[in-house]
Amino acid sequence: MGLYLLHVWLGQEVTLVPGCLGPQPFRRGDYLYVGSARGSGGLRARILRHAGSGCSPARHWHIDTLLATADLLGAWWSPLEGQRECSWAECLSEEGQRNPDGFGASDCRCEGHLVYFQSRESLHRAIRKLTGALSGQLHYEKL
Amino acid sequence: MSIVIELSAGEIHLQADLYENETASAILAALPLEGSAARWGNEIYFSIPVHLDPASDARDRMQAGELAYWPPGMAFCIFWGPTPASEGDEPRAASAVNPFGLIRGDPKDLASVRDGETMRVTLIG
Repeated sequence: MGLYLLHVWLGQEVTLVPGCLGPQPFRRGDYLYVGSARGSGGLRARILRHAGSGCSPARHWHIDTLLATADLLGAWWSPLEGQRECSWAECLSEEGQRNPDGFGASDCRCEGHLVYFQSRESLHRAIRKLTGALSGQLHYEKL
Repeated sequence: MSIVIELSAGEIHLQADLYENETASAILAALPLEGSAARWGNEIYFSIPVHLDPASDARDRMQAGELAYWPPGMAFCIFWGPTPASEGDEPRAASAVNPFGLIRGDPKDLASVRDGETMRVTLIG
């Protein structure tokens, strides 16, 4: 199983209803979402699926609700085995803030897999912190 | 004859030769540039108002003193030693960058530049 990050830009403050989380306020700004998929082909297919989800009525995951309103700017992925979404989200949250609580984390008990950043600079610091933790095994794809 | 730029921060002044590629041309067109330095191991990077896609010669293994553009962060990067992504002494970028120049002399002088210090890039000729 590999992990990926989606860089999402939300241009305005909105209230969205991501599944069972109920109405949640989202601030304007940059977000990183941590997701997982099986195999390298699975990773790419999943990222491309997200890239097209803004125009799709099907909303399987919390992130689909956000992507219906926000812009997907790019994706980062790692084929390394044994990684956990919760660990990535925790690492990223050293520079940002997990919000809303439980987003994307229906299958675990962590604080959530979506991290909000007050500035693009803090998002880049978080990416570099994670890259260092993965010994450079984090790759970028512009979408 | 190559085009020469100057990188400066406080009392530090270093000259660098630009490569002959599209990234170098885009950087040259945007000069002068300045930004707030961020350190990542033995790399300095700072955001610049230049938007480029990954180049065909983009790579993550760098040589000491090399200048590059980091597309995901729209950042000007300067490498002189190992970064948190390195496996040995070789500088390694956070992800593939577009190389566009090389510092003349010893780039290790940049090690004294601190986070938040202003970096300036100007054209020498």
